[in-house]
Amino acid sequence: MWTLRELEREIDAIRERINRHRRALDEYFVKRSEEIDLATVCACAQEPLLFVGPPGTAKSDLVVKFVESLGLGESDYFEYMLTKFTEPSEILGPIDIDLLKQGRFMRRTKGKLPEAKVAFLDEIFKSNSAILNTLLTIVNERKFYQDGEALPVALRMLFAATNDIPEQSELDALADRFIVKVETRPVKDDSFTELIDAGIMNEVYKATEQKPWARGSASFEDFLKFKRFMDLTFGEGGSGSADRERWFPREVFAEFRRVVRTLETEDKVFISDRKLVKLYKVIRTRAFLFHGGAVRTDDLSLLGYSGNRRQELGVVQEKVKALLNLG
Amino acid sequence: MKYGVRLHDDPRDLATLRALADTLPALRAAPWTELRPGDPAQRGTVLHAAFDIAQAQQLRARGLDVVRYTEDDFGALIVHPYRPARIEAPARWESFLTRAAPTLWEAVRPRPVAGDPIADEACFWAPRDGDGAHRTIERLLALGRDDAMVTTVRDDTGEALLIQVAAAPLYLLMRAREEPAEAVRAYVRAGDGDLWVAFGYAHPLASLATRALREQRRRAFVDADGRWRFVDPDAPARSIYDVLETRFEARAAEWTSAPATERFRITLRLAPTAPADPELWVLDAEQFLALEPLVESLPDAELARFTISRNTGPDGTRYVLQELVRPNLSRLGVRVSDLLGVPGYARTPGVDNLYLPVGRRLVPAMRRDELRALLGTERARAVIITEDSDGPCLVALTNPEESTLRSWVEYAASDHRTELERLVERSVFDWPELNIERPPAAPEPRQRAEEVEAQRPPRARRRDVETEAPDEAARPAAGDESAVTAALREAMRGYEARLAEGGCEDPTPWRDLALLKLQAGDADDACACLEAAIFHGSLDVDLAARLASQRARASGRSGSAEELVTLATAERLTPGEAAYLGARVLEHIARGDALELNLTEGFFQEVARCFASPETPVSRRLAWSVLRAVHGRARDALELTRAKERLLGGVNDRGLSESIDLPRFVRFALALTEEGAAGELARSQAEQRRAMEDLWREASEGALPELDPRSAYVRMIFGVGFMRIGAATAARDIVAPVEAEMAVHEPPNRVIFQLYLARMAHEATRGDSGAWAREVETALSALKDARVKDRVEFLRKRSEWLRSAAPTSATSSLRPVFERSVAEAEGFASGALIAGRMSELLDERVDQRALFDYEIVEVIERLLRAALRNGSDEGIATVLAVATPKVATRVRAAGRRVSATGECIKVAAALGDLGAVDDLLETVASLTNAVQTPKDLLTGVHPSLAALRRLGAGDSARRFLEALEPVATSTASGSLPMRASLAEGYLLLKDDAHATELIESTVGDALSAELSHVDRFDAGVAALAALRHWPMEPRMASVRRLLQGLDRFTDAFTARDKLYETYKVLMLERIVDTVADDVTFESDKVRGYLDEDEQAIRRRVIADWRSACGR
Repeated sequence: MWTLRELEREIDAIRERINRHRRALDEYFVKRSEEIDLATVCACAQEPLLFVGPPGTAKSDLVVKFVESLGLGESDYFEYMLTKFTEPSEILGPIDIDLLKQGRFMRRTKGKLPEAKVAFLDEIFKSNSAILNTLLTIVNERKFYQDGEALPVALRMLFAATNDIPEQSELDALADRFIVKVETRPVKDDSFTELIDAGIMNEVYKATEQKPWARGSASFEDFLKFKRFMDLTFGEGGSGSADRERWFPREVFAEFRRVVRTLETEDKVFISDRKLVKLYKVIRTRAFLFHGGAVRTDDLSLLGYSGNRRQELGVVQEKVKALLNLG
Repeated sequence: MKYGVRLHDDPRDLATLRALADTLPALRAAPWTELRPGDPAQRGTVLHAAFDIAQAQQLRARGLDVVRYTEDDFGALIVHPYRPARIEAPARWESFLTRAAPTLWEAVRPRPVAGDPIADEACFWAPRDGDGAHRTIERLLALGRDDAMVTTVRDDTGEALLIQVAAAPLYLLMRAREEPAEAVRAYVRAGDGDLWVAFGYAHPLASLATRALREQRRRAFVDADGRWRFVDPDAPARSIYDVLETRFEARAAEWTSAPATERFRITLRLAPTAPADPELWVLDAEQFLALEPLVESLPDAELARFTISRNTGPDGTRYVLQELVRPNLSRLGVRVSDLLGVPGYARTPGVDNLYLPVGRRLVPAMRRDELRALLGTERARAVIITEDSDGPCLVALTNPEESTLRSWVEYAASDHRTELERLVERSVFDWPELNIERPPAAPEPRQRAEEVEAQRPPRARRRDVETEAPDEAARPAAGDESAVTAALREAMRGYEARLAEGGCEDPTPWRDLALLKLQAGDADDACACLEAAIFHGSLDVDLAARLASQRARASGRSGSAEELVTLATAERLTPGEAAYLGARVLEHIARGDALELNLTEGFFQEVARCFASPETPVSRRLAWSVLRAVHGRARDALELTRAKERLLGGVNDRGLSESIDLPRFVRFALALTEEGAAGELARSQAEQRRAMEDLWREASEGALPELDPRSAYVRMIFGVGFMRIGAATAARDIVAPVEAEMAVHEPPNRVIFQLYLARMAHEATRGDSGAWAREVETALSALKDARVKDRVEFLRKRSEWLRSAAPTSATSSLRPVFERSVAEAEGFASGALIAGRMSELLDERVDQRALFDYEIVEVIERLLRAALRNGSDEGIATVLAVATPKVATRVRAAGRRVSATGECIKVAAALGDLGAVDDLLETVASLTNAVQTPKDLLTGVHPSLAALRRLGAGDSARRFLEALEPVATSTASGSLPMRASLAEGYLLLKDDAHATELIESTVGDALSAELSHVDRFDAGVAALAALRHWPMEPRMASVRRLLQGLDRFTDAFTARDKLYETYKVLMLERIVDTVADDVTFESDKVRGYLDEDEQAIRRRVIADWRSACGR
């Protein structure tokens, strides 16, 4: 693996490439820069991202173009639309009958989620409990059980989409794993003409089998290096406080705490201990990616995506903007 | 040497200061001095006043840390502990700070409070000349809080602005506290007086200071460093807008009106539309003559409904025929058009004398008055727009000479007698053969026949007796019907008494009773017993066939394969259909003749889907028997596992249903064992109706204003209440004014009212929870504005009637390493393994980490539940045996210990272990003084009451309740819900007088005591929940009091922007719900039986699953 010293030499170039990549991708969409920024930040932090919105709001298109722009091979990407009838074997691979006869419960995972580097699970909350439990282990521990043995998965980036976040307690655990949830809204009312123009171009690309976005500025490896650099930086001072003192100015950190407390107390947004730590990490990642330095107040706008329930998402986003005076 | 009292900057100081104020009341208002060490590393404070040695000793005797101090030559303060009997080393403060204060409470500094407490009311203090006030006001406005009031005050530092705001945003309070550069100080009101303490701090002598301030008519603000500022409490406050100078920076321009000269030419044209009935026809002479057949055939009265006028124009003479349309009489226009072959003209909606060709309309649509002016309809009797190849033509009939069509007819009479006679001669009459029949005898009313049937003793069927009677000895000789009946009844009584005791898992008595019931013709009970026999035993062909034949007879079905497939794929089944389907499936699987009947795998999959659903209205026994048979037939262990999870999940979620899962004889037997059952069982609808009407009269006294949201809520809630008890007309009358003026209400209220109306419809149709969830989803999906939706959801989720799912439980709070271990243990099949894992987790440190109290409790609770799920009594007892001592030894916090003990009581009660329940009740009782708040105790009291209900009340129960009574009758926060629970407990013990006394005092205190809004609401809800167990008359007295005191239930601060009064609405809902509850009266014995039955079903399901899956 790369060392901090190796990465320090090229991190600015990597950062620049990822940012260029982000801006370039934005050109193929209409008013989706917010979603693309979040997808990029989550990809850098290797945290799962959940798109919540009605059908036809470019959720799948965003992920597909993002993945294609990374130049990954077909076997590295796994995409599936889940339904309540989806069987675990459709996601995790079929059971190997030959091995089963020998008394071993193994799945043939080739081309399935355990071997993919990037995955997109559409309608994630419609899956049944067997799949949900496996997903929890994969998302949380990056592990997958084969015949009782925990094996690491290749998954680095996970995107999921849903029309709604169901309010069932058994789904809370999975929903909580998505630190960042972004609401995708239709843009046709505000950008009618632009949407038609961009949509027509997309149709042309599809018909002529062109993918201009596939020539992305950054590669998958750039994202891995960025994550590695961030991980090494977090532990650089030997303690968590060293990172905070260096990268999180006192007044911004106090603001972070105030906003979190306000969301918890006044808006009843549940922020678990795990989620709080992850939020810190994602905010730090955003700050470093976007401006290469310490966290600023506008980086805290990420807290606006910390809502859990469907109806919370918009309210929390507005509230955070008002609190941070971000207009 | 001076005397002083030492404070240690820790929680002990609170008691010290209260004792100090208590012991020396004369010195409360005397001058005091505070001395603090100059070195921040040194802790402690000395409070000094002019007290003498006697007073010092008095304080010492109260346990206060009295000190003597003196200043040495080097300016250091030497502090000697004042303990006459002991010599202790003095403390030396090299430097120190003094602060003089005119009173004791001003000498005392506020103490920090843990966390970021929520403030009901806060004030922001900012110097007038700085920009702190400006920033605060700007932020308040950005957060939508324009309800703040601003007061200008003056103290020794100059003029300042005081911004007072209810439910202040936490963000601003924290910012003021943490950012000195903001130049704003935040204070929150201490109690309800004029003392305001810096945010994040509490003043130890707040009540003393508040009393003094009230007497002095002063308002005080105290900082964290003990600085006091006083202002006039009557200084005028202004609205936030009065201190704003709003500006809009833009160029100004003034426009003057100019006469409009442009006119836009729009051409009206005729366009197609849906055809309407014609009323007018324009006829030429030829068409006019073609009317003759119509005139001949129409009766005189109908002819009079046509008028006709003759007109001349550029195209010659035209006749205008018009039908006078009368309400409630069928129209004749179509007949005229058919006869004449002309489509005619129809009247234009809104302009009653304008006629357009049928199937045409004018576009673009214009305002009626403009259309009238343009076409001149006001000047003409009728205006007709005709249309031909040259385009439309406007025909105005200004003054037509109209007359009725009848006046154009000439009647002529003729005598055709000769022809008639000839006709009669030629005719041959051919009447059909006549059979004279007796008129059928008037049928006996059905009810009467049933009564006769019911009075007749049940007939013993000879063949049945010969082949099916279980007890040969008990059977009398054939032929003696009454003797047979008596013997049958006697035999049944024995079985019924035994089975009604509960806990019978042996299939034989169920089978025997089923056969007896079949002989006695009691089909319902027989089927229930057959289902139990099949459930507890194996799938027997004979039993399944009997069950199927009884169900088929009851539902009048043939049993064809098509019929079964139709039922299996139906979206919803009635109880009769579902029971019939289940019985048939069992019969076919038992016989193994499914293939012969062409019942495919697809059919069985549908059957499995249907019976795995908790919504299917069949007993859980039948549901499991069917699932077991279907999956067992296919040897599908995976689906059987899923079916088990769904069925047990449904049982865990909803419990058993008295009406579906209990055979009727059991319900009857249990009802008879209840004392006074006749009075308490099944409150009649009339009684509920009377109570509801009384309550409504009280609520609507003084006439409810129709457009006021609050009265709209009252109407809606009562509407639902009346609908629940089947009084649909009253319900509709009550809500009608709100429905009529729905549009005037704000969006969140309007949507909620619509939901209440939907709930009324739902109550009327008795729909299921799925239908209600879909109803709510549809209503909410139309809401686009997230803010409105949020407000609607806020109330809906708290409402008993509007929410679509039960509140969800919290997620696990265990750290991952423990979570994994517990989750794994939850999957263990054996109680011993679970107990072992529990022991390991609680005894040892895992990964060098010890468990916190809350984690220990969660581990215990989850693993006890896992043991319950496994169903084996032995396993449950093993786990309970491990859990009980661990609760006592490992859980330090009393509140948590109560909660865990409550879970143990539940499990012990499920096992029926009275001794263990007794011991555990003692444990809960012994913790009454140790818990921080009575709320903590409730977590143990509720399961304890459930256990009492299940096992019957005894001496230990009374001891338990008596031990809790001091806490319940105290004034501590949360004691009222506890009191209500205790009242319920005493009612179970039949101590009605004491129970009533307790519940009345709960209601009284809920309305009159000084409580926070949340505590008051909790108390009200708890009282109402307990009141459901009271008979209607005494219940109504307390319910009425709560209704009269509804104004006392004020709103939570978080809900103030919601445009409705949350707690009043929720409270009223519960009040009405307590009177108009839709559940049947469920006696405690019945509840106990259901609990036991539930355990038996759980055990059987798990045993079946294990044997099928080899687990």
